[in-house]
Amino acid sequence: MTQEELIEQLKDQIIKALSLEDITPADIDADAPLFGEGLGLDSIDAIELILLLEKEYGIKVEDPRQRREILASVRTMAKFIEDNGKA
Amino acid sequence: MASYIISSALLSPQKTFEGTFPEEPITTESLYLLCAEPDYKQIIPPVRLRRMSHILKMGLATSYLCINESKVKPDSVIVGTGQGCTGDLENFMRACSEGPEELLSPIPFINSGHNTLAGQIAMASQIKGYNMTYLQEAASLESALSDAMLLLEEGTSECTLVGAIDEFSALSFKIFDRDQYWRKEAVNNLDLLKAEKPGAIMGEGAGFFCISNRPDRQNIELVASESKMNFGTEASVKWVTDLLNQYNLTTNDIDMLFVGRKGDLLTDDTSYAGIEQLFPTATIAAYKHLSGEFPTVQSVALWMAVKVLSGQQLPDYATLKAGTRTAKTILLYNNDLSTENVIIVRKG
Repeated sequence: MTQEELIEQLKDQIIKALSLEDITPADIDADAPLFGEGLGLDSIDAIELILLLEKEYGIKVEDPRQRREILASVRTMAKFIEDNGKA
Repeated sequence: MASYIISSALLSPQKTFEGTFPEEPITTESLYLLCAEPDYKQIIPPVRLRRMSHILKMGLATSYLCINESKVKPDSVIVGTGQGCTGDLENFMRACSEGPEELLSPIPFINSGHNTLAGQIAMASQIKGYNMTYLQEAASLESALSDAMLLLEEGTSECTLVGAIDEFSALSFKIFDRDQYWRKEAVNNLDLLKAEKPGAIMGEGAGFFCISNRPDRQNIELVASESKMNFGTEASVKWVTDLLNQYNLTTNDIDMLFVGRKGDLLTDDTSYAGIEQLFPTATIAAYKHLSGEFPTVQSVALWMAVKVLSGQQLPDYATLKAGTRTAKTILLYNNDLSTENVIIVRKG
Protein backbone atom coordinates (compact mmCIF):
# COMPACT_ATOMS: atom_id res chain seq x y z
CA MET A 1 0.00 0.00 0.00
CA THR A 2 1.37 3.41 -0.93
CA GLN A 3 1.35 6.27 1.56
CA GLU A 4 -1.44 8.01 -0.38
CA GLU A 5 -3.58 4.86 -0.26
CA LEU A 6 -2.88 4.55 3.46
CA ILE A 7 -3.89 8.20 3.97
CA GLU A 8 -7.23 7.61 2.22
CA GLN A 9 -7.84 4.52 4.35
CA LEU A 10 -6.99 6.47 7.50
CA LYS A 11 -9.39 9.26 6.58
CA ASP A 12 -12.24 6.75 6.35
CA GLN A 13 -11.29 5.19 9.65
CA ILE A 14 -11.03 8.57 11.39
CA ILE A 15 -14.45 9.66 10.12
CA LYS A 16 -15.98 6.44 11.40
CA ALA A 17 -14.17 6.38 14.76
CA LEU A 18 -14.95 10.01 15.57
CA SER A 19 -18.50 10.05 14.14
CA LEU A 20 -17.66 12.95 11.80
CA GLU A 21 -20.98 12.56 10.02
CA ASP A 22 -20.84 15.69 7.90
CA ILE A 23 -17.21 15.25 6.82
CA THR A 24 -16.08 13.34 3.73
CA PRO A 25 -12.53 12.08 3.09
CA ALA A 26 -12.17 14.84 0.48
CA ASP A 27 -12.79 17.46 3.20
CA ILE A 28 -9.77 16.32 5.19
CA ASP A 29 -6.43 17.86 4.20
CA ALA A 30 -3.81 15.21 4.91
CA ASP A 31 -1.33 17.89 6.00
CA ALA A 32 -3.68 20.09 8.05
CA PRO A 33 -3.48 19.96 11.86
CA LEU A 34 -6.00 17.55 13.35
CA PHE A 35 -6.28 19.47 16.62
CA GLY A 36 -7.11 23.10 17.28
CA GLU A 37 -7.38 24.19 13.65
CA GLY A 38 -8.28 21.82 10.81
CA LEU A 39 -10.80 19.28 12.07
CA GLY A 40 -10.79 20.92 15.51
CA LEU A 41 -10.46 17.68 17.43
CA ASP A 42 -9.99 17.54 21.19
CA SER A 43 -8.40 15.36 23.87
CA ILE A 44 -11.14 12.70 23.81
CA ASP A 45 -10.63 12.39 20.07
CA ALA A 46 -6.91 11.93 20.72
CA ILE A 47 -7.72 8.89 22.87
CA GLU A 48 -9.92 7.53 20.08
CA LEU A 49 -7.12 7.98 17.52
CA ILE A 50 -4.60 6.21 19.75
CA LEU A 51 -7.12 3.35 20.09
CA LEU A 52 -7.58 3.37 16.32
CA LEU A 53 -3.85 2.86 15.76
CA GLU A 54 -3.85 -0.04 18.19
CA LYS A 55 -7.07 -1.69 16.98
CA GLU A 56 -6.58 -1.29 13.23
CA TYR A 57 -2.78 -1.47 12.91
CA GLY A 58 -1.65 -3.22 16.07
CA ILE A 59 0.65 -0.35 17.04
CA LYS A 60 0.81 0.70 20.65
CA VAL A 61 2.07 4.21 21.34
CA GLU A 62 4.17 3.51 24.42
CA ASP A 63 5.56 7.00 25.04
CA PRO A 64 2.81 9.58 25.72
CA ARG A 65 5.21 12.35 24.66
CA GLN A 66 5.21 10.93 21.12
CA ARG A 67 1.46 11.40 20.73
CA ARG A 68 1.49 15.08 19.82
CA GLU A 69 3.93 14.42 16.99
CA ILE A 70 2.18 11.28 15.70
CA LEU A 71 -1.29 12.82 15.75
CA ALA A 72 -0.29 16.13 14.20
CA SER A 73 -1.97 15.31 10.88
CA VAL A 74 -3.25 12.37 8.86
CA ARG A 75 0.09 12.27 7.03
CA THR A 76 2.09 12.03 10.27
CA MET A 77 -0.17 9.19 11.38
CA ALA A 78 0.38 7.41 8.06
CA LYS A 79 4.15 7.90 8.34
CA PHE A 80 4.11 6.49 11.87
CA ILE A 81 2.25 3.41 10.64
CA GLU A 82 4.75 2.96 7.79
CA ASP A 83 7.73 3.44 10.13
CA ASN A 84 6.35 0.64 12.26
CA GLY A 85 6.10 -1.62 9.24
CA LYS A 86 2.30 -1.97 9.44
CA ALA A 87 1.26 -0.35 6.17
CA MET B 1 -46.69 27.95 47.61
CA ALA B 2 -48.20 26.69 44.37
CA SER B 3 -46.23 25.33 41.40
CA TYR B 4 -47.15 26.13 37.82
CA ILE B 5 -46.31 24.45 34.52
CA ILE B 6 -45.32 27.33 32.27
CA SER B 7 -44.04 25.35 29.29
CA SER B 8 -43.94 21.80 28.01
CA ALA B 9 -42.40 19.81 25.18
CA LEU B 10 -42.76 16.19 24.18
CA LEU B 11 -40.84 13.96 21.81
CA SER B 12 -42.81 10.75 21.32
CA PRO B 13 -43.71 8.21 18.64
CA GLN B 14 -46.37 10.71 17.55
CA LYS B 15 -45.76 14.11 15.97
CA THR B 16 -45.97 15.89 19.31
CA PHE B 17 -42.72 17.82 18.87
CA GLU B 18 -44.72 20.45 17.00
CA GLY B 19 -46.52 21.36 20.22
CA THR B 20 -50.09 20.40 19.39
CA PHE B 21 -52.13 17.22 19.25
CA PRO B 22 -51.57 15.65 15.80
CA GLU B 23 -54.74 15.50 13.73
CA GLU B 24 -54.08 11.87 12.89
CA PRO B 25 -51.97 9.49 14.96
CA ILE B 26 -49.06 7.56 13.47
CA THR B 27 -50.02 3.91 13.27
CA THR B 28 -47.72 0.97 12.92
CA GLU B 29 -47.85 -2.80 13.25
CA SER B 30 -45.07 -3.58 15.65
CA LEU B 31 -43.94 -4.83 19.06
CA TYR B 32 -42.58 -1.37 19.87
CA LEU B 33 -42.93 2.31 18.94
CA LEU B 34 -39.98 4.60 18.25
CA CYS B 35 -39.96 8.39 18.47
CA ALA B 36 -40.89 10.52 15.48
CA GLU B 37 -37.58 12.35 15.67
CA PRO B 38 -36.86 15.82 14.37
CA ASP B 39 -33.77 16.72 12.34
CA TYR B 40 -31.39 17.09 15.26
CA LYS B 41 -28.89 18.98 13.13
CA GLN B 42 -31.33 21.87 13.02
CA ILE B 43 -31.56 21.98 16.81
CA ILE B 44 -28.27 20.87 18.38
CA PRO B 45 -24.91 22.38 17.39
CA PRO B 46 -22.90 19.83 15.33
CA VAL B 47 -19.96 19.94 17.76
CA ARG B 48 -22.23 18.65 20.55
CA LEU B 49 -24.21 16.31 18.34
CA ARG B 50 -21.21 14.29 17.19
CA ARG B 51 -20.74 12.39 20.42
CA MET B 52 -24.35 12.13 21.46
CA SER B 53 -26.21 8.88 21.72
CA HIS B 54 -29.86 8.52 20.80
CA ILE B 55 -31.20 9.33 24.27
CA LEU B 56 -29.00 12.41 24.66
CA LYS B 57 -30.20 13.80 21.32
CA MET B 58 -33.81 13.15 22.32
CA GLY B 59 -33.39 14.81 25.70
CA LEU B 60 -31.34 17.81 24.67
CA ALA B 61 -33.57 18.67 21.71
CA THR B 62 -36.72 18.43 23.84
CA SER B 63 -35.18 20.49 26.65
CA TYR B 64 -34.27 23.23 24.14
CA LEU B 65 -37.85 23.30 22.89
CA CYS B 66 -39.27 23.53 26.40
CA ILE B 67 -36.87 26.27 27.49
CA ASN B 68 -37.53 28.25 24.32
CA GLU B 69 -41.26 28.10 24.99
CA SER B 70 -40.82 29.30 28.58
CA LYS B 71 -40.76 33.02 29.29
CA VAL B 72 -38.52 32.36 32.30
CA LYS B 73 -35.11 30.73 32.06
CA PRO B 74 -34.91 27.75 34.46
CA ASP B 75 -32.31 27.93 37.21
CA SER B 76 -32.35 24.18 38.03
CA VAL B 77 -32.55 20.88 36.18
CA ILE B 78 -34.15 17.66 37.40
CA VAL B 79 -34.36 14.62 35.15
CA GLY B 80 -36.25 11.40 35.82
CA THR B 81 -35.32 8.29 33.87
CA GLY B 82 -36.37 4.73 34.51
CA GLN B 83 -33.51 3.08 32.67
CA GLY B 84 -30.96 5.81 32.01
CA CYS B 85 -28.64 5.85 29.02
CA THR B 86 -29.11 2.18 28.23
CA GLY B 87 -27.94 2.39 24.61
CA ASP B 88 -24.45 3.60 25.48
CA LEU B 89 -24.32 1.35 28.52
CA GLU B 90 -25.04 -1.63 26.29
CA ASN B 91 -22.36 -0.52 23.81
CA PHE B 92 -19.84 -0.16 26.61
CA MET B 93 -20.67 -3.51 28.20
CA ARG B 94 -20.61 -5.24 24.82
CA ALA B 95 -17.16 -3.77 24.09
CA CYS B 96 -15.99 -4.96 27.52
CA SER B 97 -17.14 -8.51 26.86
CA GLU B 98 -16.06 -8.76 23.24
CA GLY B 99 -12.73 -6.97 23.08
CA PRO B 100 -9.64 -6.33 25.14
CA GLU B 101 -10.56 -3.98 27.98
CA GLU B 102 -7.54 -1.75 27.42
CA LEU B 103 -8.95 -0.74 24.01
CA LEU B 104 -12.33 0.57 25.14
CA SER B 105 -13.62 3.73 23.51
CA PRO B 106 -14.18 6.41 26.17
CA ILE B 107 -17.33 7.94 24.65
CA PRO B 108 -19.89 5.20 25.45
CA PHE B 109 -18.44 5.10 28.97
CA ILE B 110 -18.75 8.87 29.41
CA ASN B 111 -22.29 8.84 28.03
CA SER B 112 -23.51 5.81 29.94
CA GLY B 113 -23.85 7.59 33.27
CA HIS B 114 -27.49 8.03 34.22
CA ASN B 115 -26.99 11.72 34.99
CA THR B 116 -25.29 12.48 31.66
CA LEU B 117 -28.38 14.13 30.22
CA ALA B 118 -28.96 16.47 33.16
CA GLY B 119 -25.31 17.53 32.92
CA GLN B 120 -25.48 18.06 29.15
CA ILE B 121 -28.59 20.22 29.53
CA ALA B 122 -26.90 22.30 32.24
CA MET B 123 -23.86 22.89 30.04
CA ALA B 124 -25.79 23.53 26.84
CA SER B 125 -28.29 25.95 28.39
CA GLN B 126 -26.00 27.38 31.07
CA ILE B 127 -28.26 26.36 33.95
CA LYS B 128 -25.86 26.47 36.85
CA GLY B 129 -28.12 25.70 39.84
CA TYR B 130 -29.41 22.47 41.35
CA ASN B 131 -28.87 19.47 39.08
CA MET B 132 -30.39 16.12 39.94
CA THR B 133 -31.32 12.85 38.28
CA TYR B 134 -33.90 10.43 39.64
CA LEU B 135 -33.50 6.82 38.56
CA GLN B 136 -36.44 5.19 40.24
CA GLU B 137 -38.01 3.06 37.55
CA ALA B 138 -41.70 3.91 37.16
CA ALA B 139 -41.57 6.59 39.87
CA SER B 140 -38.74 8.60 38.26
CA LEU B 141 -40.85 11.35 36.67
CA GLU B 142 -43.09 11.70 39.71
CA SER B 143 -40.05 11.93 42.03
CA ALA B 144 -38.52 14.60 39.80
CA LEU B 145 -41.75 16.64 39.80
CA SER B 146 -42.09 16.25 43.55
CA ASP B 147 -38.51 17.45 44.05
CA ALA B 148 -39.16 20.47 41.83
CA MET B 149 -42.22 21.39 43.88
CA LEU B 150 -40.13 21.19 47.06
CA LEU B 151 -37.40 23.37 45.50
CA LEU B 152 -39.95 26.03 44.62
CA GLU B 153 -41.58 25.73 48.03
CA GLU B 154 -38.33 26.30 49.92
CA GLY B 155 -37.31 29.15 47.60
CA THR B 156 -34.18 27.43 46.25
CA SER B 157 -35.51 27.77 42.72
CA GLU B 158 -37.86 30.11 40.90
CA CYS B 159 -38.16 27.96 37.79
CA THR B 160 -37.04 24.35 37.43
CA LEU B 161 -36.75 22.35 34.23
CA VAL B 162 -38.11 18.85 34.85
CA GLY B 163 -37.51 16.15 32.28
CA ALA B 164 -38.57 12.54 31.86
CA ILE B 165 -36.85 10.28 29.38
CA ASP B 166 -36.42 6.67 28.39
CA GLU B 167 -35.17 5.17 25.15
CA PHE B 168 -35.95 1.93 23.39
CA SER B 169 -33.14 -0.57 23.43
CA ALA B 170 -33.11 -4.07 21.99
CA LEU B 171 -31.47 -5.49 25.10
CA SER B 172 -34.01 -3.95 27.50
CA PHE B 173 -36.74 -5.31 25.27
CA LYS B 174 -35.27 -8.81 25.56
CA ILE B 175 -34.80 -8.58 29.32
CA PHE B 176 -38.38 -7.47 29.99
CA ASP B 177 -39.61 -10.03 27.47
CA ARG B 178 -38.32 -12.78 29.77
CA ASP B 179 -40.84 -11.51 32.31
CA GLN B 180 -43.66 -11.90 29.75
CA TYR B 181 -44.01 -8.12 29.67
CA TRP B 182 -44.47 -7.61 25.93
CA ARG B 183 -46.83 -8.82 23.25
CA LYS B 184 -45.62 -11.89 21.37
CA GLU B 185 -47.03 -10.78 18.04
CA ALA B 186 -46.94 -7.39 16.36
CA VAL B 187 -50.13 -5.39 16.80
CA ASN B 188 -51.50 -2.23 15.23
CA ASN B 189 -51.01 0.33 17.99
CA LEU B 190 -54.49 1.79 17.52
CA ASP B 191 -55.96 -1.65 18.23
CA LEU B 192 -53.83 -2.13 21.32
CA LEU B 193 -56.39 -1.01 23.89
CA LYS B 194 -58.83 -3.70 22.84
CA ALA B 195 -56.60 -5.75 25.16
CA GLU B 196 -57.26 -9.00 23.40
CA LYS B 197 -53.93 -10.57 24.35
CA PRO B 198 -51.43 -10.47 27.21
CA GLY B 199 -48.58 -7.99 27.17
CA ALA B 200 -47.85 -4.40 26.19
CA ILE B 201 -45.79 -2.82 23.42
CA MET B 202 -42.56 -1.02 24.28
CA GLY B 203 -42.06 2.65 23.56
CA GLU B 204 -39.81 5.61 24.24
CA GLY B 205 -40.11 9.34 24.76
CA ALA B 206 -38.81 12.56 26.25
CA GLY B 207 -41.04 15.03 28.04
CA PHE B 208 -39.87 18.32 29.54
CA PHE B 209 -41.72 20.84 31.69
CA CYS B 210 -40.72 24.20 33.13
CA ILE B 211 -42.16 24.43 36.63
CA SER B 212 -42.31 27.92 38.12
CA ASN B 213 -43.39 29.51 41.38
CA ARG B 214 -45.33 32.11 39.35
CA PRO B 215 -48.17 31.37 36.95
CA ASP B 216 -48.06 32.46 33.33
CA ARG B 217 -51.08 33.41 31.24
CA GLN B 218 -52.23 29.76 31.02
CA ASN B 219 -52.21 29.42 34.82
CA ILE B 220 -51.79 25.64 34.96
CA GLU B 221 -51.08 24.48 38.48
CA LEU B 222 -49.18 21.31 39.28
CA VAL B 223 -51.14 20.22 42.34
CA ALA B 224 -49.65 16.84 43.20
CA SER B 225 -47.11 14.26 42.12
CA GLU B 226 -47.17 11.09 44.19
CA SER B 227 -45.98 7.48 43.96
CA LYS B 228 -46.29 4.39 46.08
CA MET B 229 -45.79 0.65 45.96
CA ASN B 230 -48.73 -1.20 44.49
CA PHE B 231 -50.65 -3.39 46.93
CA GLY B 232 -53.69 -4.25 44.82
CA THR B 233 -56.92 -2.71 43.58
CA GLU B 234 -58.59 -1.99 46.93
CA ALA B 235 -55.49 -0.32 48.28
CA SER B 236 -55.13 1.69 45.06
CA VAL B 237 -58.67 3.04 45.26
CA LYS B 238 -58.20 3.96 48.92
CA TRP B 239 -54.87 5.62 48.14
CA VAL B 240 -56.31 7.78 45.37
CA THR B 241 -59.32 8.72 47.52
CA ASP B 242 -57.04 9.65 50.43
CA LEU B 243 -54.84 11.70 48.09
CA LEU B 244 -57.83 13.68 46.88
CA ASN B 245 -58.77 14.40 50.50
CA GLN B 246 -55.21 15.43 51.24
CA TYR B 247 -55.38 18.03 48.48
CA ASN B 248 -58.89 19.17 49.43
CA LEU B 249 -60.43 17.63 46.34
CA THR B 250 -63.32 15.21 45.82
CA THR B 251 -63.93 12.71 43.05
CA ASN B 252 -66.46 15.16 41.59
CA ASP B 253 -63.69 17.72 41.11
CA ILE B 254 -61.87 15.51 38.61
CA ASP B 255 -63.10 16.35 35.11
CA MET B 256 -60.66 14.19 33.19
CA LEU B 257 -58.79 11.01 34.09
CA PHE B 258 -55.75 9.75 32.19
CA VAL B 259 -55.23 6.03 32.72
CA GLY B 260 -52.16 4.01 31.77
CA ARG B 261 -54.04 1.18 30.07
CA LYS B 262 -51.48 -0.61 27.92
CA GLY B 263 -53.56 -3.25 26.15
CA ASP B 264 -52.65 -6.10 28.48
CA LEU B 265 -55.46 -8.64 28.75
CA LEU B 266 -54.15 -9.91 32.07
CA THR B 267 -53.66 -6.69 34.02
CA ASP B 268 -55.46 -3.70 32.48
CA ASP B 269 -58.80 -4.17 34.21
CA THR B 270 -57.37 -5.12 37.58
CA SER B 271 -55.07 -2.09 37.42
CA TYR B 272 -57.50 0.54 36.18
CA ALA B 273 -61.19 -0.45 36.39
CA GLY B 274 -61.43 0.37 40.11
CA ILE B 275 -59.90 3.81 39.62
CA GLU B 276 -62.11 4.54 36.59
CA GLN B 277 -65.21 3.71 38.65
CA LEU B 278 -64.21 6.37 41.16
CA PHE B 279 -64.87 9.03 38.49
CA PRO B 280 -68.08 7.96 36.69
CA THR B 281 -68.73 11.31 35.04
CA ALA B 282 -65.17 12.23 34.07
CA THR B 283 -63.70 11.99 30.59
CA ILE B 284 -61.31 9.03 30.47
CA ALA B 285 -58.26 9.32 28.27
CA ALA B 286 -55.51 6.87 27.30
CA TYR B 287 -52.11 7.29 25.68
CA LYS B 288 -50.00 4.13 25.69
CA HIS B 289 -51.38 3.04 22.31
CA LEU B 290 -49.73 6.24 21.03
CA SER B 291 -46.46 6.06 22.94
CA GLY B 292 -45.87 2.44 23.96
CA GLU B 293 -44.88 1.52 27.50
CA PHE B 294 -41.76 2.82 29.28
CA PRO B 295 -40.98 3.78 32.87
CA THR B 296 -41.46 7.55 32.51
CA VAL B 297 -44.42 7.24 30.16
CA GLN B 298 -46.68 9.37 32.33
CA SER B 299 -44.82 12.37 30.87
CA VAL B 300 -46.88 11.74 27.72
CA ALA B 301 -50.11 12.00 29.72
CA LEU B 302 -48.86 15.10 31.53
CA TRP B 303 -48.04 16.83 28.24
CA MET B 304 -51.51 15.92 26.93
CA ALA B 305 -53.15 17.21 30.12
CA VAL B 306 -51.26 20.49 29.83
CA LYS B 307 -52.43 20.85 26.23
CA VAL B 308 -56.05 20.19 27.25
CA LEU B 309 -55.82 22.78 30.03
CA SER B 310 -54.30 25.19 27.51
CA GLY B 311 -57.47 24.92 25.46
CA GLN B 312 -56.69 22.18 22.94
CA GLN B 313 -59.33 19.54 22.31
CA LEU B 314 -58.51 16.00 23.45
CA PRO B 315 -58.46 13.99 20.19
CA ASP B 316 -60.97 11.20 19.69
CA TYR B 317 -58.13 8.71 19.25
CA ALA B 318 -57.08 9.36 22.87
CA THR B 319 -60.59 9.34 24.35
CA LEU B 320 -61.82 6.15 25.98
CA LYS B 321 -64.99 7.69 27.39
CA ALA B 322 -66.22 11.20 26.76
CA GLY B 323 -67.46 13.19 29.74
CA THR B 324 -69.64 16.27 29.62
CA ARG B 325 -67.63 18.81 31.57
CA THR B 326 -64.89 21.12 30.39
CA ALA B 327 -61.66 19.83 31.88
CA LYS B 328 -60.39 22.09 34.64
CA THR B 329 -58.90 19.51 36.98
CA ILE B 330 -57.15 16.44 35.58
CA LEU B 331 -55.87 13.37 37.39
CA LEU B 332 -53.25 11.10 35.83
CA TYR B 333 -53.05 7.55 37.15
CA ASN B 334 -50.49 5.00 36.04
CA ASN B 335 -49.92 1.54 37.43
CA ASP B 336 -46.94 -0.50 36.27
CA LEU B 337 -47.78 -3.43 38.59
CA SER B 338 -45.04 -2.66 41.11
CA THR B 339 -45.50 1.11 41.40
CA GLU B 340 -48.50 3.36 40.99
CA ASN B 341 -48.38 7.08 40.34
CA VAL B 342 -50.75 10.01 40.54
CA ILE B 343 -50.24 13.48 39.10
CA ILE B 344 -52.92 16.16 39.46
CA VAL B 345 -52.99 19.36 37.41
CA ARG B 346 -55.65 22.04 37.24
CA LYS B 347 -56.48 25.31 35.57
CA GLY B 348 -56.08 28.11 38.08
